[in-house]
Amino acid sequence: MTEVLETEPVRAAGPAEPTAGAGRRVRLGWPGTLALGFVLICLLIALLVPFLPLAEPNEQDLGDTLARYSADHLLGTDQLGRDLLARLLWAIRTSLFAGLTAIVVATLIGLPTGMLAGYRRGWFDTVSARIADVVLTVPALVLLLTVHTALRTGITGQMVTLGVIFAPRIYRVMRAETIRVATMPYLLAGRMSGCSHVRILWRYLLPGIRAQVRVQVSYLLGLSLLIEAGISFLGVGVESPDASLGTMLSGAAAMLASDARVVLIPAAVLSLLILSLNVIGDIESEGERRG
Amino acid sequence: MSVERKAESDVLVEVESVTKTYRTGNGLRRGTPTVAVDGVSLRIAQGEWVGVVGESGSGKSTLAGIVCGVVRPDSGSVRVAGQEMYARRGMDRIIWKTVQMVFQDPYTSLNPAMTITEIVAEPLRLWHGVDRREADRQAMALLDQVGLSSAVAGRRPGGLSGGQRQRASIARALAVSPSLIVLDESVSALDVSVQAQILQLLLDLKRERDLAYLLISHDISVIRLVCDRILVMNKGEVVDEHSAASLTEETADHPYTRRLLSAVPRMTASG
Repeated sequence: MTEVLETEPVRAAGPAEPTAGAGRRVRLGWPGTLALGFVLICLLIALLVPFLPLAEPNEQDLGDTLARYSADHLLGTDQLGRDLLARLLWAIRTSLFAGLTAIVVATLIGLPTGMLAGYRRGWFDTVSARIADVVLTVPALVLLLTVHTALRTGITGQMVTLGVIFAPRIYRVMRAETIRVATMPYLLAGRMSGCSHVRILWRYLLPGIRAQVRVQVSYLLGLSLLIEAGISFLGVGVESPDASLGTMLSGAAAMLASDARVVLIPAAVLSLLILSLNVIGDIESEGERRG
Repeated sequence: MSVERKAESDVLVEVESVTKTYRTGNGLRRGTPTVAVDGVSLRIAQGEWVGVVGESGSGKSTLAGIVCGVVRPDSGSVRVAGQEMYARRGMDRIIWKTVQMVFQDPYTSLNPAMTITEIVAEPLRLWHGVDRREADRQAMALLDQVGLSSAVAGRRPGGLSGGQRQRASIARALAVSPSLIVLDESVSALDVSVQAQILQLLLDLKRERDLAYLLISHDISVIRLVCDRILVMNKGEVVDEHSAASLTEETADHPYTRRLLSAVPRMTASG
């Protein structure tokens, strides 16, 4: 049979053409490139900081407090004479790992339950949606303070709790996305091709909702960092003298009037990190909306 | 109704008095029931091309869904290759070895995350247990058979035109080696020249593989062009059934069929 060349796509009215994460390129632009670059640098720092030739982050030198920039202390020292650069880099690691713990827990709970609820509907959808509604009504900070008081779990436990609190947000988006994608005829075509329900979820549904997963992860990671900083500031997250962006802020808060630098540096990093994650989330979300 | 049917032994699909009613509304308010298919019977023999024509909402696509095992009728029976389709759970998977479907919209009927080869090779691996390498080889042969080049094989559906996608959909359906392919408005979304190419392809494949087709369309001129037998549906019922050769405005039994036929534009010498 001769090959037929058809180059002009003909589009009839009907459901919007599906876009799979696998086949889609998101245009970052310069704000997205800067944001992604900053997040990647922070992630790299978080991974490599134990191997960097830095001063001991918790070592105090009370004879050299609030020192200015020098060869020994590139960013100077804080109110207890600790090297500010070392503390900042370790704080990035602690805060990012804490935020990622929350996101991993939230995704592991929210993604499969949301997909299953949207795909199978029925009683599982009804029951899981009601549980999600109940969890969403609980204020995050109140629950985190309660868990800290009752269980003394430390930052890891707090972030796992935060992951559970975030799970319904991911669940709801994934459920809605799955319901949208599940109406596409290609899922039925997949079933007719011999795919099991598990294969349909994995190879047909997941690529279709992957972009939304990335959007949610970006937003919630920013929010996790903010909450980690908040609870550490309140003294129920990372405990002193360990450095996190929150403990750095709480420890130096009193210095704002005398040496704002010790507050502004961790505050700027935290703000930029959250801003970058939100910019990435916005770009991803815009790309998903446009297809 | 003037119909010539094939022998009983050749019957592939036998639909007997099926009825399907949809109910709208929500948990608080019971909506008005809509009868989509009302006591329809249909037989399709091996190698036969049956067309179902009717306007939007006449129940054609519901009937196609019932034949494919994706819409469960409220009453009546559907037998495919001698097996009662709705006798037990999981029959749909058995039926799909015999009956496949090519969907209306080529833009939403192929998995956008997979390449064309993967889409066509998937049924070969899952239905026939062919290993990956052999499945890819057979998929390439199928794509060649439907007129798609190897350059297209590695692409995702997003990089293909509507006609190319519909060819890929046909190749996917063929990969299962079915006896019947249900074409639910499968050429309606394509422009006229591509429609003609796809219909010619379907004719060629029918001859080569002794395939049966159930073509659902709102366009009676397309149905008359290619089908052996035509069913006319109106408000969920089959109001007319004719062999394609015998269907004219004069022979049509039902006024609705005559209206459909009279609506087909004609070329006249006088201009």
